[in-house]
Amino acid sequence: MSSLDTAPAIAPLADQKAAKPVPPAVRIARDFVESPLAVLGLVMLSIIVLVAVFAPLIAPQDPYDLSEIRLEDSRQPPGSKRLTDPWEADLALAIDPTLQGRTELTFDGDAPIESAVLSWAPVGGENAVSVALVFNPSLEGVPLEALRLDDLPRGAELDVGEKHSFRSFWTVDLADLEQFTVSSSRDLDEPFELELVLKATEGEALMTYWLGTDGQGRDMLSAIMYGLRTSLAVGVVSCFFAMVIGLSLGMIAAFFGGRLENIIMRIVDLQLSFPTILVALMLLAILGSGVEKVMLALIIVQWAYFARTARSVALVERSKEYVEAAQCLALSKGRVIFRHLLPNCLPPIIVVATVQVANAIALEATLSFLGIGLPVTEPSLGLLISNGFEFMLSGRYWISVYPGVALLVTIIAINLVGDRLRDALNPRLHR
Amino acid sequence: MTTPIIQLDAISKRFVKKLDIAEKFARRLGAKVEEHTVHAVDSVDMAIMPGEVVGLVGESGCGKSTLGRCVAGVHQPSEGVIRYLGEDVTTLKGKALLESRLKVQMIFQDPMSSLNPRLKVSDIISEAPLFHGLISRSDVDEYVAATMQRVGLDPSYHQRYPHQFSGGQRQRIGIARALAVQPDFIVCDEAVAALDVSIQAQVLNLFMDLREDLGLTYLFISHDLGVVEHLSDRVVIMYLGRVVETAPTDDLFASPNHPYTQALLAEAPRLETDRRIYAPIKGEIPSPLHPPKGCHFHPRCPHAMDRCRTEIPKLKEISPGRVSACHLNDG
Repeated sequence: MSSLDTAPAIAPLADQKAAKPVPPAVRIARDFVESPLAVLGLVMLSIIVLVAVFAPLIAPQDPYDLSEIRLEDSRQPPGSKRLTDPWEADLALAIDPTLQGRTELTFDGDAPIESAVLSWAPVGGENAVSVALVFNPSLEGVPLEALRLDDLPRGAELDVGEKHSFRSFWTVDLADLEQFTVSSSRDLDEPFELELVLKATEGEALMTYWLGTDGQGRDMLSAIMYGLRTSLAVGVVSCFFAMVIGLSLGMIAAFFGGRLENIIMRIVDLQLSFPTILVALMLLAILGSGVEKVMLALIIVQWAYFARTARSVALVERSKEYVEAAQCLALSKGRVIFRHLLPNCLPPIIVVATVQVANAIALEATLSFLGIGLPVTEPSLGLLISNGFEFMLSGRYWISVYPGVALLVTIIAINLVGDRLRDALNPRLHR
Repeated sequence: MTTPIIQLDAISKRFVKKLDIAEKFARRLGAKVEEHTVHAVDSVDMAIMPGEVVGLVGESGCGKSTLGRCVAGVHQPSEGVIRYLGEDVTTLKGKALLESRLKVQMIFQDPMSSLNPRLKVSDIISEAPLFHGLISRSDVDEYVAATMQRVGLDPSYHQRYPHQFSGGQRQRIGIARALAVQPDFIVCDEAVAALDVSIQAQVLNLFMDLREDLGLTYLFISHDLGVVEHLSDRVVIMYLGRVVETAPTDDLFASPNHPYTQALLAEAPRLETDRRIYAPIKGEIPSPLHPPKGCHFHPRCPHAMDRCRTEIPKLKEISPGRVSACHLNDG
């Protein structure tokens, strides 16, 4: 030690290859994308989140709007279509058989034709009148139910079509209407009015129920999108608040120690010794159902996980010398906790948070499935599964299975991301 | 006579593990359960003059780091008074208290864990001066650059994170952080123990340069006698929480008085001792949970007498500037 040279003015840099500073976040991101499975999970999760966020814009139907839901469309299989009511028009064909005449009839809004021209002329020397009805545009190709002409004058007959065996109307073809004759055994000297009923066989397709409909006629695809929204929101919001509460209490316990720590950690132990589902069930039984109550129950059952993790991490970090250095520099307690301790405690908490979001979604689904979660009018995934459960054995699998798949994919995606985050954030795995 | 910059009067630091509920209950029922108390530092007196470098030497677990932390204000002593420039620091308030705390800084052993891994070097250095209003926000870059220059770091690295530096450079960052609040007194807790020998030399020379430039006073805690001999004006030897000998460096290395000091010096590895076989001090260092009665060193001391087992030896002046705590000096 006695023969030391003076130190060089500038110490050589050890890490020459890192030309620019790499912030920890970038390093973690690089680590993360090394696993293709995790990237797949992240992509799936991103799609799910986007779908959930933009559900009102992209969903074919608003499943919460009861006026949009038609009970007659309930339990439709995947791929069936939602149709408009069939178009129908009653025409009154007023004819004065003593004169030659022509009238124009107009149609309103949703009819596939604009107008029709009715013209007639008495047939000379006979008790007959020849009638022509021409549609504009032509009704050729429009699927129509059988055309009925009714209210013929007493004793009158048509030269086309067929009379019903005992009722008064005649069934005619569309082509027959272009020229037909009303003839009678009696004098045709009074004006009369024929009634023609035009009725389309089916309505137009408004939308396709790609994943079928549920027991109330809701489009399953839209219901799943909105259900994802509810499930994710419940999971993320409850997890966030559970994290804030758990993190604060855990850090306080670790930093201040003593009796406060004992009290907090014994409550955590107590909480963790009960099965979560049981606690949540009891809470909801007391609180009643509703989105905010489910969230409250989830926060209450989840904060303890965060508190325990936060305390153990904070204990490790607190014993490190940089905390002592901060104390030595007379920084305030709040600054030591929030600027020094907290950022270094976050990585394990983030991992717990991702896994807990998945757990919260699953737990909310379980509660809804058991019927004490969310109201039927605003279904979450769990409730959708539950609603479809009664139809499973009658072969209407889609009501339960598709929400189930959505739930499964969501939870798997979150877990894939969380697993990789755990590896990426673990400093021991870094070279 | 000038006032000592730091004066310790009978400083003790005890760590007590309190009984939990079950143990308290067991004790009520008559079980022999007692609180565990570690006497890390036991009634230590010390005075350090401005500009002095005091080496504090002792085995692992003898309380030298705890003493250093008490001086630096990281730990509060259980008993005793710390005086900064003659003022009892516990009686100081507001600005004076802050002043006394900032003027005493500490440099830590582990250059990795002593730097917050999430902060950039510039933030590490500038945080405290900004927080205490020593510099304004617009001066930060300049101040950081000047401080980095002073400790031999290239100021262009100020945007980097601690993990991008080598051990020696990290220690320099730690020194820069301490210097940033313009201290008078620096506690170096094994500040070079974790570094390579060549880097140790650089850092030690940095300490000496800073002492000359800034007029710093050091309490240099180390178990490395070579480093202490090279650096210090005065050496304090600790054993199991107590000071056993204090002497000017040259005197101490020339003629150690206390049997523990003698044993330490005799077994210190040196170049000229070549291939001799070392005879370690007999036995283990006793547990500070149950320190031996009388002189703490007596179970391992080759000269132990009956008196050593019962009576605590007092620190007595044996020659000008030298004190030693050994009963042998009485007879």
